Amino acid sequence: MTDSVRKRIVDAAVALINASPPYVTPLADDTRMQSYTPAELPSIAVFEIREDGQSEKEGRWGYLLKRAFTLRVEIRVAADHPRPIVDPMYVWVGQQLGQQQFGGLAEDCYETLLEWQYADTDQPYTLLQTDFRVEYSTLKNDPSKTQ
Amino acid sequence: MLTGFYGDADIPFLLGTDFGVAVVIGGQTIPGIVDNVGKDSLLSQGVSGVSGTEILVYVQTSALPKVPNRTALTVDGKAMRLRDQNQAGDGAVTHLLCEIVP
Repeated sequence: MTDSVRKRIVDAAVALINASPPYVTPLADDTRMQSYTPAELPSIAVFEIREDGQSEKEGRWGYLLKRAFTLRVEIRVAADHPRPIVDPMYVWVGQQLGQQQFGGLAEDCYETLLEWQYADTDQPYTLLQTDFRVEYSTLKNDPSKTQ
Repeated sequence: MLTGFYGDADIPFLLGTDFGVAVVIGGQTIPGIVDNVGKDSLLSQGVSGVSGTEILVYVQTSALPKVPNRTALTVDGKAMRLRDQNQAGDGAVTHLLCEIVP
């Protein structure tokens, strides 16, 4: 069975983020469920968050479903002053995913929401979540085919 | 030492025996008991957080020098920084929340 278009886009996004990044570590994890130990930081994790669809009609009938899903990239660091550490990773992710068509699978990809969270336990920790909206289309009756 | 806390004179003995460690803060060395409690933070959708540790040091309030948060201290020889300080119970003991300076 062929993978869904969305799965192929997420796979491609993770591969793009991990393609020779300018920082030493980390490599991005795909949908990591387990917590990171402090020694594993900095970290990057990629998640699918939500998707909505809309029928794309041409005349009376339409065969395509126009979709948009939120791809979230999470960066976690342990640092007193996190910005100098987070920023190079954020810039790299934005350069790799912004306006990306993932080899013709998507129509567009762009940042829609950034959110920071902070925690202070044994060290100061920071989380930056960057949401990308990925627009693409599939056949209504087959999420693995774009046409 | 005369303080307003009932049984305050016994606290150094309680903190200093068996589990006690040396806490150096504000130029003074006082006894304290350390608790390291695991605490997850920065969870996203209930998963993928950071497995941190809450470092709590119990010291006698009347022995604790008046210092602001972010003061450097050593706990059992380890360099740390004061995150917060909260009196507990009747106030005779203070919880020092500490962090490792990354």
